[in-house]
Amino acid sequence: MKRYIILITMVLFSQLLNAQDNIKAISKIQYEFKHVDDTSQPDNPYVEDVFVLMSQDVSIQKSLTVQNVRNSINDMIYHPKKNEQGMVVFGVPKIDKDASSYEYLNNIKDKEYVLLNNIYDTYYIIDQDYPVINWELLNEQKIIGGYNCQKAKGLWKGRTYIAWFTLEIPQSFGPWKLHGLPGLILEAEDEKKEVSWSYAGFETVKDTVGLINYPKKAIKTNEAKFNKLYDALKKNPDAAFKAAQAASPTGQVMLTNMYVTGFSSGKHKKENYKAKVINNPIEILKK
Amino acid sequence: MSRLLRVYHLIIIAILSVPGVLNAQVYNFNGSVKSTSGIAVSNATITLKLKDASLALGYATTDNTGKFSITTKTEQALSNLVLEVNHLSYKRKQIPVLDNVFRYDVVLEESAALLDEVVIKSRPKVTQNKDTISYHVEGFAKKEDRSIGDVLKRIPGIEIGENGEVKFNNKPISNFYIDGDDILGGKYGIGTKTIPHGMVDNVQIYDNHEHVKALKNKNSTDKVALNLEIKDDARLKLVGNAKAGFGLPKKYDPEVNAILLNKNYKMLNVAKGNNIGDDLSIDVLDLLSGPAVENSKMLVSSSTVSTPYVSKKRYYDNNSGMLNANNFFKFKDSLQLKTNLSILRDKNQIAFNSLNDIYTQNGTVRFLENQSGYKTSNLNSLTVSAEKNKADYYFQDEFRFRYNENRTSSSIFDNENAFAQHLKDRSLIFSNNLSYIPVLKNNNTLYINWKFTANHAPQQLELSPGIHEDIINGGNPYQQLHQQSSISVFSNHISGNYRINKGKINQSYGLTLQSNYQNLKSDIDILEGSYKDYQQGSNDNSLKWQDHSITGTGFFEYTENRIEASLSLPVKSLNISYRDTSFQMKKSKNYLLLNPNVRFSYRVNSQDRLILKYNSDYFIDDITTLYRGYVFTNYRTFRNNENNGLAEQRSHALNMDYNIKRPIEMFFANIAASYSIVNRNVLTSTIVSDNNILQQSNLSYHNQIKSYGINTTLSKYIFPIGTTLTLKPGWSHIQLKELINNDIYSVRYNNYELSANIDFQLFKKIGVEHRSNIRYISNNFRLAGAGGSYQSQKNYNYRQSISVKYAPADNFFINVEGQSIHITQERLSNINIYFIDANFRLKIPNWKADLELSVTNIMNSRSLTTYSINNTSFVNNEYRLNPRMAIFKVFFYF
Repeated sequence: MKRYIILITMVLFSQLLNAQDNIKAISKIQYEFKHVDDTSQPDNPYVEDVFVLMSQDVSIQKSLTVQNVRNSINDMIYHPKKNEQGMVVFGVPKIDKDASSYEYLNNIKDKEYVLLNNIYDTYYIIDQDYPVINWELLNEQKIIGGYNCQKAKGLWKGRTYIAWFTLEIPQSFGPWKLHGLPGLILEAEDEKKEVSWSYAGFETVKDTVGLINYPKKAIKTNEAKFNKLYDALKKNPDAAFKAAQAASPTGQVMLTNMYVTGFSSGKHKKENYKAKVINNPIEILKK
Repeated sequence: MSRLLRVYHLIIIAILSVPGVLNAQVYNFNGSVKSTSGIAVSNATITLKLKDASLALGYATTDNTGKFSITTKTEQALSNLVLEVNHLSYKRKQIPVLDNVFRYDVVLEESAALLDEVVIKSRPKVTQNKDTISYHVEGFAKKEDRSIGDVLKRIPGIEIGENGEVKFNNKPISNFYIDGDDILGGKYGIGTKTIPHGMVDNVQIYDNHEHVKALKNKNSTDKVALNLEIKDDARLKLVGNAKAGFGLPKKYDPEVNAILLNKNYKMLNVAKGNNIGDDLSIDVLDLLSGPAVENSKMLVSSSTVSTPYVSKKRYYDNNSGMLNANNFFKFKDSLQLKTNLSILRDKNQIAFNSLNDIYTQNGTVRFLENQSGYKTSNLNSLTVSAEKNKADYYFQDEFRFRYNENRTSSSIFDNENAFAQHLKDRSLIFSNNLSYIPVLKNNNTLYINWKFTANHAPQQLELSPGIHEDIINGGNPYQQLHQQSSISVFSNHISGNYRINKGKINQSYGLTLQSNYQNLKSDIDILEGSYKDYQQGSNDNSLKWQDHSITGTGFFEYTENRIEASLSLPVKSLNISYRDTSFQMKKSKNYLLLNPNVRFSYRVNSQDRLILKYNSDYFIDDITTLYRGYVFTNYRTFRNNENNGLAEQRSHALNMDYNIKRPIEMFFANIAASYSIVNRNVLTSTIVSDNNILQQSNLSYHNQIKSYGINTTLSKYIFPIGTTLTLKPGWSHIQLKELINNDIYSVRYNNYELSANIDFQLFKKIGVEHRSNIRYISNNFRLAGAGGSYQSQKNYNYRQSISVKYAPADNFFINVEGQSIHITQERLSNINIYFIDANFRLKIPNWKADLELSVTNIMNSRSLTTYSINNTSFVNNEYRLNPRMAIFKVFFYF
């Protein structure tokens, strides 16, 4: 399960990044995201816990697992937990679902939608088409998590989504790229039932808990370039680490000896499933 | 709103929605949204909804000018509808829709209420529990692994050097803990090699680690420590491993060890031996650098020849045995006691030839040396340490004792003589190191340390029959030259450090009191029937030295967004006095020294970083360059220090480092430029002629060593083949003075170097590593101030190695490595040497055993020849190598 190790090490590096512009979030919604990414294994979807932090004009979606790992690393550094011998222990949360270090930033004021990711200690900003969805409001209603929700239907890049939004929370955000309704989207699913976000809780947030990080010193790039880099890392992490490490002067933080191939923690392996062939992207069409 | 009401509305809607009951009509509502202060509000949401139900019929958001427009098709009567305007910075507003009014200009009241009106009905579930797994060893271990050291190499960020030093993210670890206890101190190399990975549950990395509990949360440290968390079931039992290794010709390599890792008692005991070229002393190297590591100063060496620049295994012809016992006890009230004992016995064969040409104004002087014989070593060390690491104070006392004895017995042929050499040296070191750290009420920290070291190192050199008779014995042959010498050192060191953890600038202030007492004695006797003193004892040294110093240090550190700067400013007041009554020498000198150290780092942009460093140092040589009477520092070199005072030097060094990262292209580069100047007040004079002796003396002469250079590292990940290519080109220039036969030479070096490394996978199964290194040294020298052309020497050195790893089955491993060395020097024949080694391993889990066959030096290269350049001289050495060896090893676990 090399992606976990890659994930953890990447997360580790993101701690080193500082000087970000912060926007204060005022609310937070959590979803369970499911995606049948290999159509030959519909019962073995990608499952990830995600949450969206929202301000008036900006929302950011992050992986809950990644955030937990991040928090535990922050804990280690700023609020160290000690074991019996009085030593600081670096605790990593249990990872029992899929996780991705991508973050999705939506700025409705500037009509800007970007993906954020980091490899080692560098943040990347990956430009996306700004999602404009012409939602059709439907009269159907149901109650989700105590909130009265209304049905809406919209098309984005080849999939038709059914979204359930609530006027009780007047924020026009939602999961991933789905947004633009007069209330918060609590649940969404595409008509083929291959991609879905189910509601897992909403709360308002105060103080600095829910800062929306806006990395300042990030590198702007496009999806093709970033994927090439990311795939290289996945294919031969050892060589990739060596490349990054070789030229670093002493004191620079870099990883070495990354033998990820063949790593299995025994916990994350999905028993009785074969390796996935990713053949079913969320965005089917380019437009 | 009650649920009943909601259901009622749903029914109403359902009824109203039935087509044909009412005709649907298309309406357009538009207007603008402004704040009370008249500013247009953009991104406000306007929802057209039913008056008493939360059902939206249409919606819009305001544009940058605050305007909106909603087109909707509904059967509802307009009087049933409301417009709701939402923006989180303003109070929510509802406006009833009036008949036939389609334009609404809304004014919003500012409010920081945000989402206060929203009722939280279902919070997210509590996030997952944390478990304290850092690196689960099972996840990283591979079948071919044996010790925890093998696994550590695979853990992201961990690197293990050839000497066993563990680094995490390029930083050497500060502590090596086993289940939270620091059992081995700096000699943890034996731990990584011996502890089986099966005993270890997790490897934990403690970043920003502070060992001292009293300092926890006060200091931000950048130390990294490593902990091996032992499995529960492994804590209770005694674990042992045995290795039986035997091979051809007449080779052995056995090992037995016993490990017990209880909570309150831990031990790690190892006995091993070999004659296959494994240097066991590496296992007991103290890998934690710093003042804890002490080595005795030695005046006399057994040879003029340096060790060859290949792996020690290739030439080390040894018979070694070692016992290493480490015991750790934990008592009440957090008192810990540990003992580390190591005893090493070694006998190794010496065999080499050397030719050294020194170019002088009167032609070339050639020295030959052919030495063969053996060296025995007897190294014993004991460390006893007590530690109390409590929340309110920290106390540690460490006592070290070391006794080493080396004897070299060899026969030497130089240009014309054949003689036997016996060199015996002993060294005895005691040291005690006490640290105390109290907890202060404020946030600042205080650190107190007291250390003393006593060291006595006598040496005895015997050359028989006596040589250099024209210098030593008026030209008369004699039976034996006998030289006794010794250096004794006693030093005492007390320091206190106070650190202020407040404000933008980190400050710390230190005060150190230091005293050193040194004593150098030497005496040369001539055996000619009976022993007689060389020059009636008037050459005997009995030099006494004292130095006392007080140092105040200020250290300041400043960090801001892009800038990190630090300044260290030690001010040292030093008094040195020395005397040797037989040379009527008695002097005392005071110094006030300032040795600043500045570091500045600037982040140019997100990817580039510039680091500038400057430091200046004033260094004063010790007793070993001060003695007046002649001493043989080896059988050929006869040295004293004429009439000069203390040898002093002031150095300035400037470094610039520019680091470039282009992660998208996976290209990384580092360019480092350095410049340094060293001004010395003495120069070593060498007098050579054809009489086989090299006389040296330190003379008062101001001279300068200047060096500068650029080193570059370029590394690029090559996407199509998934591999990394690393290139390291470098250039350096050095200028210095050399004094030979009273002629001063200007010497210049230009060194060029290029290293290239590439790793790749063949057919996804075969790992290939290729390393190569090209070095070109051009050396020029001429009489200083004389002008004219330079004499030059050029040396070219090319090394490459290729290693291939293949696992045909998951319990069978093959590793083959080839190495070649190619050296050329002008006017000399080229040197080409090749090595091939192979290693086969088979794991048999059912037997709890491993089988290993290794064949080294398959080409059976018997000697290694090297050419090298040293200022105005040329050196050609030839070393005997270990011949082809086949060793079969069996490992058992119990």
